[in-house]
Amino acid sequence: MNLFSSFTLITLTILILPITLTPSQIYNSTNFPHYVKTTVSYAFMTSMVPAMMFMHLGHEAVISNWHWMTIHTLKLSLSFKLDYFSLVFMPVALFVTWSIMEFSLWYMHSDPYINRFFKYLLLFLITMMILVTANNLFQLFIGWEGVGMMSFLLIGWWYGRADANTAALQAMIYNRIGDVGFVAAMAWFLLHSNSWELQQIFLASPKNDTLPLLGLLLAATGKSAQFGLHPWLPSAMEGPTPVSALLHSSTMVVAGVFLLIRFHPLMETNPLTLTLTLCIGAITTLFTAICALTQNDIKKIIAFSTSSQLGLMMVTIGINQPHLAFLHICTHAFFKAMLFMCSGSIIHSLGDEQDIRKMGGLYKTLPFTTTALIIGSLALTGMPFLTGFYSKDLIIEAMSTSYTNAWALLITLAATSMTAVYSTRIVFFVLLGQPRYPMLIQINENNPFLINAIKRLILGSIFAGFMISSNLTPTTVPHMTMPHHLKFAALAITLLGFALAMELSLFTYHLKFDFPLYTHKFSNMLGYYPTIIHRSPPFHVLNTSQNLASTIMDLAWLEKAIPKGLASMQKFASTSISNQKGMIKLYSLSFLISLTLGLLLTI
Amino acid sequence: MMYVVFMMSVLFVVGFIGFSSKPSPIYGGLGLIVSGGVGCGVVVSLGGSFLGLMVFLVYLGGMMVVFGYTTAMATDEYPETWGSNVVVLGALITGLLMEGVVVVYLFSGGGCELVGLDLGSLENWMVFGEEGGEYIREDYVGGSSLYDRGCWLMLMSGWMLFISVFVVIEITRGR
Amino acid sequence: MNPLIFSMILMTLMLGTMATMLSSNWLLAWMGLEMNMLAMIPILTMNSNPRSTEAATKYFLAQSTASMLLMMAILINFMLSGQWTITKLPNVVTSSMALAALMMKLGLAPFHFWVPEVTQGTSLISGAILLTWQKLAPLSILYQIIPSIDINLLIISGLLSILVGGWGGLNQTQLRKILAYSSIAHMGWMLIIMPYNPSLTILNLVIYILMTLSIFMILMNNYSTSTSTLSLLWNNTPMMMIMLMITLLSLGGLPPLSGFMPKWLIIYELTKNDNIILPASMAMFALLNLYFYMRLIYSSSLTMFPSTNNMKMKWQFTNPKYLTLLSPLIILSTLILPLTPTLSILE
Repeated sequence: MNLFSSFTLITLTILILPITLTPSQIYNSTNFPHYVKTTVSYAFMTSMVPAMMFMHLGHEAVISNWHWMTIHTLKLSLSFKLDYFSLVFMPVALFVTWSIMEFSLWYMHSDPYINRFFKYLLLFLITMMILVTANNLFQLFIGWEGVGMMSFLLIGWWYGRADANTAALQAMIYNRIGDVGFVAAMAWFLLHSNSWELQQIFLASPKNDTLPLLGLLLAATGKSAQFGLHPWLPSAMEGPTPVSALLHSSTMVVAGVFLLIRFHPLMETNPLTLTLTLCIGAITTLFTAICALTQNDIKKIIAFSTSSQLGLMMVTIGINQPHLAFLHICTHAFFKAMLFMCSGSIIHSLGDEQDIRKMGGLYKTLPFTTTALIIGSLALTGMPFLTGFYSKDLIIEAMSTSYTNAWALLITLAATSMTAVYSTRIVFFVLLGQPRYPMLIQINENNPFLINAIKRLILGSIFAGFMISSNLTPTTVPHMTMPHHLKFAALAITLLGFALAMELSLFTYHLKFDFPLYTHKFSNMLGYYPTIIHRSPPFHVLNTSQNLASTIMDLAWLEKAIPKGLASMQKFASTSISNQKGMIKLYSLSFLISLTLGLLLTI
Repeated sequence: MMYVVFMMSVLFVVGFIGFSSKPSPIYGGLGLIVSGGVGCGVVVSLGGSFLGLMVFLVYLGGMMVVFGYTTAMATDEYPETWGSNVVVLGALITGLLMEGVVVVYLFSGGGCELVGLDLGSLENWMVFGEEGGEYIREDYVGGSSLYDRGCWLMLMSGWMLFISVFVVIEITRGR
Repeated sequence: MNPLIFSMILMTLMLGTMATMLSSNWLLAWMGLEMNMLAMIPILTMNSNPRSTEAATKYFLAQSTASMLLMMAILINFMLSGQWTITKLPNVVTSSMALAALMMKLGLAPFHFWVPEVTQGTSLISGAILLTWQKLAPLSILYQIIPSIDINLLIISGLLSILVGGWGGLNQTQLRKILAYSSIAHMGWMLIIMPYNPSLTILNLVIYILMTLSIFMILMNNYSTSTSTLSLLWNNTPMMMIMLMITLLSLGGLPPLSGFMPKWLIIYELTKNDNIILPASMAMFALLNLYFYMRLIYSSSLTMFPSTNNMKMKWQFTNPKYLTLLSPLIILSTLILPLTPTLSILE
């Protein structure tokens, strides 16, 4: 046993430690959140050891296997794969989570169940770690489902609110749709390669693997909120802000992209899946960017930007560059977590106000948060030499130099420029101009928990990309040479977006539309997608069910037609039969008629 | 002879039409008596002179008594005649018209097969036809054999007649 | 009524029926029917009131119309064939007329209207005689002339009777009317089986008479004539309520009771003759009857008529009314199903 697996195991064990303390008295103490935070920071430090060793030694991968159980011919093992992806991702996730937990100490300090909240956050992180390090599909699935479960619990943290419950259910249901694909893929691999071990599957590389790959794509679409299954992601903003930060940076939503990265050896030989991934990613990145343009809820804008970036990652996978996608995951985690924490700081300071129209001028009152927010936005837009630049620029370059779908390229570029637009919009409305919030608000960001947490992430947002990309040799060779206009394409459209957004915001600052434009409505109503998908199919299904099962079957056929129809028929017959007047003349008439009829019948 | 019988049977039906068109009971009784008398005449004309006489005496004798009694008891100051009411008159005329149709149909020689009876050949109505000279009339023979061989039947009939009177007295007694 | 007169009239009633049943001559049979009818009238008007007079009048009119029609059938038959023997009825017209007349006397479907009215208008005992004894004479004639009867007419009328009996009874709250409709339905069963196996008609008649008599006697015991007074039965004579329940179930033809026997055998006989739809529909229509018998059971055993508390103590007193025949009748009308195997001689 070498140091890779032992230190990774130590990391995982340290993480599990606070969970095992649940039955003890420590769980009830007020210090428990601090313990958890410290635990995570220790875990981060221990996880740095194998990561450093990996960078230094240049290993390919270390796989550790413990036999778990054997079912017929299927061997299930407790298998950890410590390779480029897991060893780099773990410190990043732990670092981000450490900051988020420290931020939570400030943000959630008045919550009566703060201990449980920290336990949930930790469990969330642990399941993500399981997912990242898993070397077989079963283990991966445990992490996958654990992430889904914990996201349900955390999004619905304020379960007293109907919106939070609905959002949690939405997340659950959309993820279950994705899980259909995952389970189908698992069943297919079990049938065709008789193994759930990743390297065995890749070794066998079964023929005609479009079906399981489409299943995996569906799973990734659900988990990473790609177009079609995306509405749960903005809804998940109903959860506490630390949850949003954790959910959107290093856990949960990147799990889908990570799954596709893991299965890249199969995907790169299947052009159909690649094209589909590319198109889905491109549509997602554009659509969610459009949606982000007109949102007024600060958290929703950031959520849609996450969705857009996830689309970008999918596009990267679609153009066969999984390492770039992974790089983007890692860099994105820093600044996205920080953006959420900044928004949390603003929301908290303004007394739970999330509407950017009621903010403004915060650069005076919240200087530190303003700094962080601007750095985060710039990093997000891919400003040179900030973290986002190292991954995003590479992605755009790789895309524009590859012989890919021009349409997908164009809409991705449009989405990239829109990133700048909505980032500008946040900065413009939240930080600049005059204050539009009510007076007498206790604004105070001078809390060490908040300051330290954001400070670390500012460092991450500025330097992480540089450090990761300069220390890790990319396994797929990026394009080294290209024309100037391609090299500057990403930067140019980003700057264009900035300029445009700035001009438009200034221009329309005092302008009030008499009526909203249709395009504005489209963007503001999230493309009418939730309206159409969440209202119409259930309405029609319920309507049809009511018509078929209740109205036609139960009420008409089974009640009206048979029992009630029979009863009313008998009632009618009975009343008409026994409705005699007692008149002898009528009797004689009936006698005459019956006799005549009878004789006519017989003769 | 046949035409006499035929005319009498037409009259017989006219009498029935008379009382079934519902005038007041007095005139109804009148119609019944006319029909009864004509019916006896039909029987006599067809050869059943004894039977006809008996029926006329016994049945119509009783009928006359009843008729007289009801006339005496009748309380109508202005009894309805056939002409006094449109409905009654209408019924009478309808009945007469229907009979007229039947008579005309019969005279036109159309054979009418109704309930198994051939009304076209009126000769078949001769039931009590005399064939050759016999010592005693058949109806007398019937009467005597009724008393001789059918004595139990006679006894039953006697009881029956008695019980009818008895029942009538019983149900009208003391009310 | 004077007992002497009553006994004389009863004797005549029986004499008439006997004469009809014993004679082989149309005239005497007809005379027996007439005697029967005449003797029935004072029995119907035993309790003199306008209602019973109306009932008696209706009965008289219906029966005399039937007698007239029968006489006409007899005369035409005599004219065509020259003989008076009952069993010889070769012409289809005369046989149909005779059938119509007898159906009217029995109260079968298209001629059934007088039955509920007359039964409702008389006392319980007269009703019992009307619905039991009075069926004997016409049925015996029908039994003799059945080979020459048109079978389609018979089956249509029988099926119609079962339907009318079922539907008519559904709408009634008066017990005598309900029993009258039940009689119509039972007559329909008897009529339908007659061309196939006349012995089953007799069996059905016997069991029907037993059951109807028991019910009438239970009602007489309690003086009930409507379903609402029937719900007082349980605090009067609790045992009788149970007996009524069982007898009604037997009347409806439920298996462990004797009422099942004729229905079972009739259905069996009809299916043996390749009739499937007919017995199936008959059995289904019998459910209508069963429905209103069940309703009587419900109101007698499961409901409480609003009454004073003293009324609820009535069961403690000895019932002065004592009907000797009631217990054997109830036993016969409920428990003779196990005797069915001995009836194989009927086959």
